[in-house]
Amino acid sequence: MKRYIITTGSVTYAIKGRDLLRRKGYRARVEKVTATAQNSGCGYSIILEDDDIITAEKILRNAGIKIQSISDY
Amino acid sequence: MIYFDNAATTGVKPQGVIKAVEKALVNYSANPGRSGHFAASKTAEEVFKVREKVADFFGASGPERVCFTMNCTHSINTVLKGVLKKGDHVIVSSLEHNAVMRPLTKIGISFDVAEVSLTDDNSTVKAFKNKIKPNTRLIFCTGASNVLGKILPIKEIGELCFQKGILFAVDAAQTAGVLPVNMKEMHIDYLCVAAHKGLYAPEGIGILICEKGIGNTLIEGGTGTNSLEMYQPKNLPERIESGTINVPGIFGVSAGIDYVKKIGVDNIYKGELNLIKELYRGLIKNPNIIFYTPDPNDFSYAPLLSFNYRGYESDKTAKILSENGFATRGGLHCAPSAHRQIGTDKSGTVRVSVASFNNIKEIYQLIDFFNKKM
Repeated sequence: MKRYIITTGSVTYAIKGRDLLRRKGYRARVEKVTATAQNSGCGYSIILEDDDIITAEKILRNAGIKIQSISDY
Repeated sequence: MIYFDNAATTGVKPQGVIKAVEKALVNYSANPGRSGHFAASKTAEEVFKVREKVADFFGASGPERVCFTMNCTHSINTVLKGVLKKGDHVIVSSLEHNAVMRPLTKIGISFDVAEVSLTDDNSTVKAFKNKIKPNTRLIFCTGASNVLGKILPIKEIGELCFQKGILFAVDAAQTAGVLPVNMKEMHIDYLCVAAHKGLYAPEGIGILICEKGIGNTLIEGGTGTNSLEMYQPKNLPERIESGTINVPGIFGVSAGIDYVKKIGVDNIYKGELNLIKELYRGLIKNPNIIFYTPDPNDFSYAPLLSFNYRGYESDKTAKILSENGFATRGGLHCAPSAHRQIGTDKSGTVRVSVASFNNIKEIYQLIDFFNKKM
């Protein structure tokens, strides 16, 4: 099973997105993003444990969750 | 002391609120949305639940729309200074608090005042309609006057705004927790709430719910997000919530909403208004009492009553009441335009405002004082 980091920025969006994915049966949790030169600094992300990132992303975007980036965990 | 100054802040907080605030201080003293450790995450989860609860209570579209502020004035300032631009036109009601009038005056935006009828809501809606100009961007009005108790026809004004494509902001300082407020049904774009009043939260916590965006920010700073960028994040609630949020206050909001929901908004309103009706009936035959509003009716008036004692300045009457064990408020209640409408801008009024913990015995004591001892 693959794992993805879906960066939402705010903890509010991260928790909202996580809860939404969990209600749809996905395994998801919230983690603080490590600030690096590659991102815009601190923030929060959803860690998704599922192969179907495309559907998960669609669910989040349809619910108005602002996604900053998606990458492999 | 019998506390009748609940329109300023509710004088008795429910046990659930007190316990929730204590719980926050003891078990949740961590900074939500900043750190990643267990305590911070646990606190962030709880704060998120409160956002969900608030959104649900007021019919907002999602928890991210719910921003915590210092108070209702902070919320109102955030909207007026964050939404309006040079060249915009605003319409406000004739009963607005200085929380609306002062920032509006300071930013120098052109505005008109729609006169609120104390007896005919259609006339009020028409007054707003008649003031609309091509550049009217926002209608901002109170849910109910903090001086007269008059409830404004928010749903109808919201419908007007929706039809005309005008933003609609409501000052719910006197209505949140006392009357039904549903942003979706009432077409409210921005809802400003004094959580320490009808929601029984501690003083120092307010709510702003934004269904539309905020352009300019009142303050900028740390949000726990996008730290390398020197611009304030666009997303709510971070756009508005710079700096550490008031976690104990937010826990108080949660418990306050639980308290209100347990009794029921309709029951709270009916119970409180019955007290005010009884006060009105008890004082109406006293020739020294001057009223400024008609007999308060259901869904026309919030549970407060303004009056004067003949020959006395309102502050003098309030002082006498205080010396005799009644906490009321005299003066202008920070809403001079409402006083101008009823001709009390020099004298002010004595305001009695009740909450769910007041009872009929207390009302009879006040009636007896005026009718037998004053």
